[in-house]
Amino acid sequence: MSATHAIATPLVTLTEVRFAYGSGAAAAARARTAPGTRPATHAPASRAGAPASFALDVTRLDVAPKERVAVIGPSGAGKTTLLQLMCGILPLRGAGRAGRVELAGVDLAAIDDARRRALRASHVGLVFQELELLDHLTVLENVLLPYLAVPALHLDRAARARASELLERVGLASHTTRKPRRLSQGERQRVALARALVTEPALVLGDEPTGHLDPDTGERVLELLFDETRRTGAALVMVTHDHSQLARFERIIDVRALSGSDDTLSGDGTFSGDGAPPVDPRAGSGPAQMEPRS
Amino acid sequence: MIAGRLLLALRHAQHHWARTIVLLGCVALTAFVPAVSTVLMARYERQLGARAADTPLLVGARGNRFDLTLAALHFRSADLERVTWEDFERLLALGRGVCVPLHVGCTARGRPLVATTAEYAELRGLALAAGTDPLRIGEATLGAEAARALGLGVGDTLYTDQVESYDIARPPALRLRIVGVYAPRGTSDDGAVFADIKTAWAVLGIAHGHAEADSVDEALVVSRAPGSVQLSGAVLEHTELDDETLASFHLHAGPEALPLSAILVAPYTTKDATLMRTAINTAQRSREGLQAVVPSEVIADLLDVVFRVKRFFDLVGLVLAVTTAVLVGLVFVLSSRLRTAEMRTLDRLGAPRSTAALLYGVELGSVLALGIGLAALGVAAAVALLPNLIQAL
Repeated sequence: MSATHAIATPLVTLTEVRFAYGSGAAAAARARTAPGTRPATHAPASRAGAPASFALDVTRLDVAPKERVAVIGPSGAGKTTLLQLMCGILPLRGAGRAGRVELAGVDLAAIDDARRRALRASHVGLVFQELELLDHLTVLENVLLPYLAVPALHLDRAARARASELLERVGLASHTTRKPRRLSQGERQRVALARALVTEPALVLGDEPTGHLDPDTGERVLELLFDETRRTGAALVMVTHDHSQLARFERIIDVRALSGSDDTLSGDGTFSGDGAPPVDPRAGSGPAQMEPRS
Repeated sequence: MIAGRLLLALRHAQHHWARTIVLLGCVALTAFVPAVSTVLMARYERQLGARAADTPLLVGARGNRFDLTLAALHFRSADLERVTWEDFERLLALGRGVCVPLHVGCTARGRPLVATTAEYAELRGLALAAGTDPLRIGEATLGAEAARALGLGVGDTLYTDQVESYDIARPPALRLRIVGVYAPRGTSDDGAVFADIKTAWAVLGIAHGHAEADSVDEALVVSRAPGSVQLSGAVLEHTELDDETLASFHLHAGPEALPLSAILVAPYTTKDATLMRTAINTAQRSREGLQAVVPSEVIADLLDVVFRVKRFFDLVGLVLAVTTAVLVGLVFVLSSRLRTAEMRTLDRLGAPRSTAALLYGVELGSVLALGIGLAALGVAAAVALLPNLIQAL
């Protein structure tokens, strides 16, 4: 197995991970047995737009503390799946699933579901598009939602103060008692951002957090996301389709190349050479990651 | 921290207040109907049963035994065929028990006027809270609840209600002097006004008082004959009985025409009871229009009918419960579909697997608990505010 990124103590490590279902599971298995072949990361869509089969292979992926990593790739390639594997939302159990995921030094497969959830709640902040705000809670209660929903987190005065401070920092201090439906889309996303940061997570995972926003609002939200993760010292792994943002990241991962075959993107957001992605010299059989050039 | 998840459940219920109120109403109504019918029926049974058990034998005119029993025991107004004072004297002559004449049907300020003799208070165990029993015509002793409701006490006066307001041939309302108040007993006696038996006859116009024939204006004398004087209807009758007017009151009928509603009988022994009942219900007495009933047997038959009706209400309650259960289930199933995104969010944030079940459970439990609480309050209010059921019958 090849080490792809020289990190002394990685925050997240994925090793020899295979996540597949449908006929893709078999395809992934074939890919594993034939190094150099491209993994089946997507397949013809079935009803409701869900692919009939899917496979994602990750030879090795490390994320360092405080690191900023962009995840790119076409729709259906497995970007969201990758994030969900990193934080244990998708467990590596069952047919077509194998490998090892470590979060904060803990093997997620070695602990039970309750501990995995507690670990996620305490170490990971999520800013997913589908992670909706709860309409029946106020803005402040939405920010404090991890404390309300997760028994492992204790809602104390410090947490409340942190929530208020975060709302102030994202410019919503005067909206604490409002219900989400009275907020604009940009304001809602800022609340989601505050919710992701309120537990002081070591890792923030963002899945196209500005996908629904207009460019100006999206830019402001991203600015906040970078500022706040920098301020709190959290690592940031973010899926994005917006290549104009890639220069902000220290590292860019093309999800198609995670199995060690091809498709990487430079840090300045442009494909290198004649359009063929450059090869990360630190990757093993096929580099999946590389440092930004700029 | 379960408190946080409780807050989430309650916030959801609070946010969807209209849905919550509908569910609460359904649950409360479903719990209220069988609960209130059970509680009120139990109260009804208790009131009727205890009173009946205290009355060994009841004699009255032939006819509806339920009407007779409810009128004699609970002063329910009913058009009873009358028995007479003569019947009472015949029963008394048998010497097989204590006989208490009873006249009901007249009222005083809406309260039943129970005309009887002093033995009634003894038979019912009525203790005086103040004053004395009504020993003379024109005197009244109030039941505890009647005294409280009317705001009257010893020394006050009370007018009877005129039987026919627009019939000038009927006697005027009689002014009764309140001479006592009974202590509360928790029975129908508490709401009644008690008077001497002759007072009822005065109210009915069978007994009356007026100025002496010798002292009235000669123009009001219709005719004079040896031993009798016929006076004009224009001679004013006394409307109050006091020391001055008492002597002028007299009856215009013999024992065979002095009406009673019923006669309460407390036989000395079981044998006396059997013999009296047999004697009254034999063909001879039956032809005279009397019947003797055992109130506890009559009430048992009445309750049997009532509980058949209650079974119907129980069935309605069951249908209501099933309908409510289906409605609540449907609401929560539909709600769970609408809350899929919310549950996914909680799941991804790291909430335990049991969170969805807990949230639904807490919300459902809260609705059930509050609904049942509301139903309990409703039952308590119904018990407190509903008038005496027996009187309402």
